[in-house]
Amino acid sequence: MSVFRYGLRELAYRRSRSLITVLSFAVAVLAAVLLTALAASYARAVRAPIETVGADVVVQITGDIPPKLEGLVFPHPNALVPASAVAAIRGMDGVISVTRGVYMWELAPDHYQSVLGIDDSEAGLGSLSSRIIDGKMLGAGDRAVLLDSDFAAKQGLKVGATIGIGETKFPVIGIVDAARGGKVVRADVYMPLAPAQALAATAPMVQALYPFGRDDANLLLIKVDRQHLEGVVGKIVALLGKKGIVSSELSFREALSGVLFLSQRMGLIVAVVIGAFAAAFVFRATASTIQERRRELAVLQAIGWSWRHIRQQVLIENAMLSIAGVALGIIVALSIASLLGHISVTLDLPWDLSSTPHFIPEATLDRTQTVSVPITISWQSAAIAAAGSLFVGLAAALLLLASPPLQPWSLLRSE
Amino acid sequence: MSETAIQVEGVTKLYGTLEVLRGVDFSIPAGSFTAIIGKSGSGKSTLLGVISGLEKADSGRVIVQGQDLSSFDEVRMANLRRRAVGIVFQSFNLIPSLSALENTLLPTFFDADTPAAARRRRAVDLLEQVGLGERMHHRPSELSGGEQQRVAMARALVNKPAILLADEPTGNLDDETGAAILELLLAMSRAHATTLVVVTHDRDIAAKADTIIEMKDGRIQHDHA
Repeated sequence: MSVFRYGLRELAYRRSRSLITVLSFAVAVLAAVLLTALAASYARAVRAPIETVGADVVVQITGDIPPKLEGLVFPHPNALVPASAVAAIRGMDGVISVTRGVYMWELAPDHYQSVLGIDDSEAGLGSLSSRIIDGKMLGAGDRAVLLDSDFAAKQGLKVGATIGIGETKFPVIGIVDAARGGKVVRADVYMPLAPAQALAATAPMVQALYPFGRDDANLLLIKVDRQHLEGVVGKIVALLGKKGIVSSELSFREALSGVLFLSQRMGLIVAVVIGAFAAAFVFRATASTIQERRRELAVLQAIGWSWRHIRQQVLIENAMLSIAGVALGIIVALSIASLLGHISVTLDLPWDLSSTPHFIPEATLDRTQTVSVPITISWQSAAIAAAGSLFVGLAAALLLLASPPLQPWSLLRSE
Repeated sequence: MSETAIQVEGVTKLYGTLEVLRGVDFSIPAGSFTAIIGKSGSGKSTLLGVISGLEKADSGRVIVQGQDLSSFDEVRMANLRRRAVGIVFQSFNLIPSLSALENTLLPTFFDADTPAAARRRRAVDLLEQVGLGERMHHRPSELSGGEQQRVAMARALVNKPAILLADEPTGNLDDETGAAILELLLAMSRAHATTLVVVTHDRDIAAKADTIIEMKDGRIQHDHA
């Protein structure tokens, strides 16, 4: 017979109270673990549209509507990003890389195509290499294009064909499954930056608005150290003023805040509130148990247990309850996460991140993106919840048994 | 002259303004059987609580096995009770979640000097001596009052105490069972050479004692062999 066995016997003897206490711990752990897992999944979901382009921040500047909507135009509409702004952004703390792009729509009476010329970098052409499904990847110096697979199918174009953009013909050297990369900054035609800059510099409806040079860009994809994301976004907004369009996961988070209350902060608050209720219940349950066992504790004193031994016994019992509750909470959280599997979030893309001209009928449909993210239980949050539960269980016993009762004999003496 | 097991000197005890013990003095020789008698409210049970260290005297000294309890902190008091004093109560006070054997083993939990097997063997021996060899795995709720008091006796003796205190040990039992329990208590006390102090209001029990201390209104009225 050991103190552990005695503890188990006691817990089994008071099985209703033990069960309720275990369930309190379990509910708190379940809430903390599952809500943080869901919050983390939502956080990953709102990051996904931007992340799939290989960047954390997309920068554009609002421009003017061209005199005529024909030929190559800047989309949405947007304007060129000044070289001085590019240099300033490159110099900001937390900015890892800046990829420049030239994004255009070519509008004809019967069809349109979106064209993206982009730097050869991780967030630029590099982000396309994993999505090649036919042909080969573009090199920075190529005067050739990749086509989006849906667009290629619709146009009946294959690798080896040529496509006209503006007044220039380009060979198609590869087909990419761009849809797999989401809908942000998606284009029908991809090419290296230099030929796109050359096209923009000679496009009448671009030049009608901006003196676009051969080294200018109208789109920046910025990789940022995530710890500095909010700071960098704030600085870029301040730099570009009201006309700057700065898109990041923060934009989606703001857009979703009215619908999805499960932001990371909200999840944490809910978990803390449930945890506080559970802690209060555990304190109350421990206090009631001690009250019920006053006579028993006095007996233990009478047979030679010191108050330290008695406190240790109750600590062991509360530790057993909290460990059982933590285990149950984590098992249920894992089961629910496994049953749910993924969360799906449908995000409305801002017009300025959509590849479809807003005056095209299907544009509204194209502006939504459904992101599916797995629900993953974080062992870190489970460990924190477990430590918290154990702390509450032990603290309850320690506080409620801080000092021995002054007159145990009064509970034991004859009538 | 025999050795003194318990010495009480000028002990007073107040509950609020009520003086329950008013300067009690006596000594109990080692190995003797002393009965403390008196009517309800005479202070006899409080006196036993003070001797056990579970009740603190407001003044005076209690010396148990040559050790002055007034200088003891809670841990030393617990150690003294564990090693030198066994207590039997009127209402048995067994732990309801534990079997008879486990209840008997409770006082031995922190005896690091004796192997667990030896402690268990002693508890089993004691339960057999009190006639519960066949019922040692039963819980208190499955035992009669007399059987529960036998378990309490085994628990009180398991650490081989020099002193056995009993507070109305037959008070919750019918006459026949009470008489049997008293006989067993005396026999066990003699067999284990303990000093036995019994608080009772039953003069028939007191008649068997070596010494009778009669309490009235918190004072010793008579102290006679």
